[in-house]
Amino acid sequence: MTCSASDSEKIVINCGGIRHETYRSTLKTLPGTRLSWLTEPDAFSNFDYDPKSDEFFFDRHPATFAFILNYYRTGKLHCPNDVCGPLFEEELAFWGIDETDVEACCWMNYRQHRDAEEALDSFETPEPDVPEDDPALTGGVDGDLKRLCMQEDGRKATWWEVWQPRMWALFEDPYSSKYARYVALASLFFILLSISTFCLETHEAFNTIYNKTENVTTGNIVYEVVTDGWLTYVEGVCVIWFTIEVVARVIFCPDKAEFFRSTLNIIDFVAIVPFYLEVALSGLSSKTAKDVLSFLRVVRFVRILRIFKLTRHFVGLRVLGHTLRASTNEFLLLIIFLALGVLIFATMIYYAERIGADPKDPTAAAHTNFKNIPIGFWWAVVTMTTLGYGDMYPETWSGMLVGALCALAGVLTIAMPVPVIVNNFGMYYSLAMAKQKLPKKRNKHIPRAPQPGSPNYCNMIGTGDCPLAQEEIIEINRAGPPVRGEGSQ
Amino acid sequence: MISSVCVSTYRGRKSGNKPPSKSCLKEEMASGEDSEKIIINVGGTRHETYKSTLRTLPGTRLAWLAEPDSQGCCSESDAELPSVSEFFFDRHPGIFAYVLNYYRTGKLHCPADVCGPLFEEELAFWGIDDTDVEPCCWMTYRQHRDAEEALEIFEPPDPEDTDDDRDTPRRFGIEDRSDRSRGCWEVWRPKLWALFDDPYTSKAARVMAIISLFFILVSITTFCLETHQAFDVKQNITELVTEGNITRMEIRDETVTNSKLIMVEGICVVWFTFEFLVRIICCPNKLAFIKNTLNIIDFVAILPFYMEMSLRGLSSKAASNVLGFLRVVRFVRILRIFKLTRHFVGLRVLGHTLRASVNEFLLLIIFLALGVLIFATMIYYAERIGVTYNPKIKNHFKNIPISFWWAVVTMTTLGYGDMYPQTWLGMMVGALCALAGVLTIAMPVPVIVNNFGMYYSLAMAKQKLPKKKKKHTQNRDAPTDSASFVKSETNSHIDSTQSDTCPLAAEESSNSKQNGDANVAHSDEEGCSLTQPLSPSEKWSLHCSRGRGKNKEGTCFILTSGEPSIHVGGLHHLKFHLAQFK
Repeated sequence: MTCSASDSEKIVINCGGIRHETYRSTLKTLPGTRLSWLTEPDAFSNFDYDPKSDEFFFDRHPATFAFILNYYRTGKLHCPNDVCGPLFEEELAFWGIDETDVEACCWMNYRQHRDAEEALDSFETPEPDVPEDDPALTGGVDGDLKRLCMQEDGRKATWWEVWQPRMWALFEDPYSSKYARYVALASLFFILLSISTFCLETHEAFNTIYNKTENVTTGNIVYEVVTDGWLTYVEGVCVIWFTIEVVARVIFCPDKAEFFRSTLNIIDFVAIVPFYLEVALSGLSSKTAKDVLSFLRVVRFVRILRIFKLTRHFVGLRVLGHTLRASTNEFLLLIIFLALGVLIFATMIYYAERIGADPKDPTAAAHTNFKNIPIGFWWAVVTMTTLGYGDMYPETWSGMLVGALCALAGVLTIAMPVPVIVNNFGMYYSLAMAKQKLPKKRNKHIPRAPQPGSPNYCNMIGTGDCPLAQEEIIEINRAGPPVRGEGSQ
Repeated sequence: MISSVCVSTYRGRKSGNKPPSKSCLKEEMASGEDSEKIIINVGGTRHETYKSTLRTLPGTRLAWLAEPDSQGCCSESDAELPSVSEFFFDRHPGIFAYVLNYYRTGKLHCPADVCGPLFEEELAFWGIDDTDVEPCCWMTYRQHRDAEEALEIFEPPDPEDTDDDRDTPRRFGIEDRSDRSRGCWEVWRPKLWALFDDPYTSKAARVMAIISLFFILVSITTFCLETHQAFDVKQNITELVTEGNITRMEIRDETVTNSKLIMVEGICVVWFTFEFLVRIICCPNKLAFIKNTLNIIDFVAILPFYMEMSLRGLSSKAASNVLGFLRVVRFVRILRIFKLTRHFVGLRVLGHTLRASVNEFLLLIIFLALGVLIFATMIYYAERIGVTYNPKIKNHFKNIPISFWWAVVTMTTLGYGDMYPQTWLGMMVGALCALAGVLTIAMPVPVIVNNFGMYYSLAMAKQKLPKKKKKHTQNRDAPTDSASFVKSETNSHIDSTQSDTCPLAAEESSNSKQNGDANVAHSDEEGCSLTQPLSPSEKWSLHCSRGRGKNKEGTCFILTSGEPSIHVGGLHHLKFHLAQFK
């Protein structure tokens, strides 16, 4: 009870109704944490101390506290298996224990959920059109207002201030209003139309061959393939729509720098530029203009990037994007595995096919498809991915043996890193689905009312940064009561 | 300022044995009740928290505990014996820790070792909306419920369900009350229905199912064989064709199916018609029957045969046109294969999986479409660039749409070999495409597979579940004397029936709280089937006597005018209360 308590003295901690008992010396093993403050002489005034039962009371989860106390005892922090990661994290933060102290065996279990959460959060916050966890959904225009840093300071909002968030939501968030849905549908329609035009215009049925005589010094006839006129018109209409969309989005965007950093917006822009360049240059007939035009014809393929605009409309595609970004390491692994296999088997097949070659053949390549090792790479890839086009195949016994080995190795090589990526995807997907299915109308927990009288409040105040919280507690202890004392007089 | 000192000492050791000065105490009682601790005994485990913690979620069951009128009964004894004041709830103690933690931290997490529905029920009891569950736990929480819901949605309209056959007589609206007096039809109809619908009801039904299965297989075999040329007979048909005013004879060859096969098909159709008619006549709910896809398939699959038969006699042009159309429509007969779903649980599970995984299928298709589009474009341009350098190569990739086919064949790792890249750039794209394909296919498939696995294991579990379930009876007799039981039962009943409308339930109780006596009578009526209204004092005495009679400790449970199912230990409470009422 006294300040000069010996280290072997026992201390009772009542955590949420369950009594835990330990030595003071145990608590001192981790200085700077909340529990170690209990051993300090002024602990009785700072914490909720019950002198009758001689115990400290903490209003926290009792089951996780057992694990935390065990950390003091054994120096090893394990996680309970039946507790959700974030919950344990919060408890750790409250008790002032660094989460990096979690043992390696439990770290996976502990981090699992958080990794996914963090990834999703970091991916989704810069993307304002996410249907889930969007403040604009619950807060409506208010959320947007806040995002645009506009205060309701009484002065009359200008036309611009009223309409900017609305227009932005209209083009950006398909779930914000009925009109936004229509805009999204129109956008979707134009994306699909543009993509189909793009694919169809390579088909010969839509291409007309013109004979063009040019007054070149050599004077020969140049065949030029020109796309059907109406396909160009359709493409033009699509481009006009995309231009309107991009311009509107640029104008009404709340944060221009962030807007231009987004890959999707860059794709938007890049995909419409070639059309305008082509149109502008088609009038000119100079030699350089022609060169640029023929270059632009190839560059047309950037229009296929428009397909990525679909990510705005499909959650699954966003999840795919997150998965790809989160699984970069695994991809590298997959590629390295495959490259290794390809190299080994291409070499093997090359030499295997040469065994027993005709001695009169100087290159020993007359009877086989495998003229060199680089072409063997292609065969190895096709075999290892179990594609088997049949354009190249081994024809000798040794080659067939290598082929069989290669196919087996390929199945394993592909099968090993893929589940890791697939698991990542599964995690993100189920999280995204859970978030989507999570009902929007949430009965929000009212944060504890700031009642300075409650020591609980004091204990609660610095959940995030405990060393600071300690200071605050003392401060509030001194500052809180006089207010009420004055109020009563 | 003096009072402030008092306050701070009080705060230092709350409910200390050295009471502060009178004025201070009063003030503390008014404002400092927030810091008051409360002990909640849930299923034997004691949880302790601050009242202010409970107030963070107004409208929930625990928040009522913190209300002044709920503690009004025990306020007197609290000052001296804080340890006595504990509220008892007969609920799962482990889950309550998580519920209480929600009050503390504002974040509702689910225990990982507890089944979802159990947690759901507890949440409903404590009056917490399940939408407050954190996203990280929402998955585990919903998992089981999703499956359960899906199965429940899918199965009731499925009349040939194996597990709810015990309800069959009940579904007819005919009870086993007086079997004798009813007509022969009413007796036989359910039996016939069971005979044709549920292969597991009797031995005869099993035989019927096997016959049906046999005919299905015969019909499918016939359907497939009749396309084989060995069973086709060539016939010459002479026809009169009128063109303008010239009428001429025209001889054309017509392939006609072997008549033996038509006979077999006819027999099958006759059986199917018979089966269908019996089923539709004996069906207890015609509307549900017609809405069922399987029955529509039944009907559609037998229709073409009869139409063909009836039109065969006619020789008009229109009739032969219709016949030609019907010959194509014959393919609907393959739909009969879906009748097999009646006989195999796995097929039903597959159907459920497909219905539940529509989103994932869409995802798969979108992924594939995306990959196909991108790689078709890439291979098209790659090969075009390659061909310009090496004109000897015959380019397979004439345009992007035909490249789609290559991309699909490559991404699914089919690799027919009808088209393949021949330039280095093309080969690079091909390798990338194959890799991307493996991943694209691999990613959404496990989600669907998981769905299937879940449904399958659920279906298997349901099948293996013993039929004779001993229903848990709310043991009404044992603790009827305990007021708590009355209360908690009625409340849990309310909550579990309207688990989604907990706030409403809360409203109800709080409304009834205001007219406390009515509340007591109400609960009595529900729990103990006490019908006559009693005067308050009578009621109290009634409860007292019951409590004393059966409780060995002599603890009496008080129905305070406030929250039901709150127990306050100690006889003096009762006395105090009785005094209040008088």
